[in-house]
Amino acid sequence: MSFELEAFGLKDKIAIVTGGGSGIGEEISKAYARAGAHVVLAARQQERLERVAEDIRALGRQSLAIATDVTEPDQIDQLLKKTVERFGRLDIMVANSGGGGFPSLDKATLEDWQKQITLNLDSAFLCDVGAGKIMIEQGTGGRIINISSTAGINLNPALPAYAAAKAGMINFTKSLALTYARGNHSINVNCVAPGFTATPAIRKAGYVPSDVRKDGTRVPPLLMPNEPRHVADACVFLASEAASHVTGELMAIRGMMHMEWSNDVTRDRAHLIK
Amino acid sequence: MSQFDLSDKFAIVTGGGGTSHGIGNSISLTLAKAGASVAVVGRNKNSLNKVVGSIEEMGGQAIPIVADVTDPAQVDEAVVAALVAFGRIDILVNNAGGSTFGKPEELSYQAWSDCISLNLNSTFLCSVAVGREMKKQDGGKIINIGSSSGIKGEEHAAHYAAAKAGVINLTRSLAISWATHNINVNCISPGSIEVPEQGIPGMPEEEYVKRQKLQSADAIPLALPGKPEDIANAVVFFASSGSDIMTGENLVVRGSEWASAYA
Repeated sequence: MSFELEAFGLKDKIAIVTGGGSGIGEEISKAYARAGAHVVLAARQQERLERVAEDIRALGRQSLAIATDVTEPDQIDQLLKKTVERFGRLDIMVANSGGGGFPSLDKATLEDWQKQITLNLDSAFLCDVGAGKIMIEQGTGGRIINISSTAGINLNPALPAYAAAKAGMINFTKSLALTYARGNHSINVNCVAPGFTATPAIRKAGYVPSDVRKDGTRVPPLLMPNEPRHVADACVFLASEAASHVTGELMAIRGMMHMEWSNDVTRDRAHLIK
Repeated sequence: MSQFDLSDKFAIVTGGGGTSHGIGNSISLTLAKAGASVAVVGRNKNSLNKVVGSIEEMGGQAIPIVADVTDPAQVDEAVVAALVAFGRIDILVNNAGGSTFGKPEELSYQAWSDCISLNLNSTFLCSVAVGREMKKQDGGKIINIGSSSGIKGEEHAAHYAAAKAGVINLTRSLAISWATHNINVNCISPGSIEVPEQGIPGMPEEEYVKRQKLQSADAIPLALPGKPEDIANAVVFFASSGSDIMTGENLVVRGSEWASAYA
């Protein structure tokens, strides 16, 4: 008996994925396309976006690459406007752009702090609310998915501003979910918080531990870092009909990596989060 | 192939035939639709046969196993029966459960311990019995059905809320214990779920009528009770390779009902 895909499918849905040119965002975009969606990719580097857009077109889905700096409100407006111009609607918004980078706390300035909050939290506010307006107007509901981080649940002493912004994102998800539910807009807003994820960039930098131990035994998969597809699959579920009664929730994507690896791994990779 | 496909997987669903509770029924059918073969476990042979019949009608594979999952010997026998039929167990859904309704000061000790037994002890017994097999076969997915009551408490079902809080926490302990054996253990916690023609299990008539009025007057889908399929679809997610890195988590499926818990 073959699997009946409908409830988990995204056939002909229109999705925007910010940070869709690489890493987790690229994987989400491709997973959405495989599930049947047309995907608008937004990030600063047009070239990277075009490469992913080509992969999506090869899957028989439409894709639009729009160079966007999500720290610029005008550029987010343009992204939304161009999406509606091209596709006539918007069903799914994934606010995935973000990144770390912070001096030590004794040297950090207010400007350093604000840069992080703007990139990681303000951008989600602008994308979410901008997409929400379009979804309310079209009256057919929608899905908003914020990509936070386990740093926003626990802590990250190397990236305090990043962690604070990601925690803010988790809480904002709930306020927005309730606002849209009370407004009877059928817009589900959820948050996904990946732990350490083996994106190509992180892998290339040599920060992904080997899955073979010194004694030659294999590390069980649940004790390894996330693969990008793990995050993407959760995002497909949350965007689909299968999750139509899930809103205001937080899904952490993480195995039991801490059972295998010392804190050194998490400490050393902290500055690499992008 | 979809990341949510369960073709060639073998599943056990406890409380899968319960007539008073549409969730187990929906979970069994939905797993079968996703391609899994399902052993439907419950006390009532007739209702088990009904679910198995519906699955077979769709062209799926299912078997009924009569067992009281609060009894360790019957749990062991049920697991053996599933292994004899299927040869392996990839998915266990601990769905059996339920509650009486009443003020805490009026609960008898019997009612308390029956509730702990039905909701928490059964989850422990089935998980360890199946967990032993999953260790041998090097992997599997265990999905517990908790409840939002287990997070926020419950005015008229303190025993049920305590048992479900236990289920949510047991999920984490089993996840930590079995991560090295590739066994993912996760929990799904429903808020109110409406079962057609049966109201909401455990909810007093007047509260149900009140909700129905709300529903007809000014329906806010995300503020209303969910459907059994909402839980069943989440079960498919946690049973599938789409959630391969997730373990020890609790996904709450309750629309915007959560908001009242913190208001």
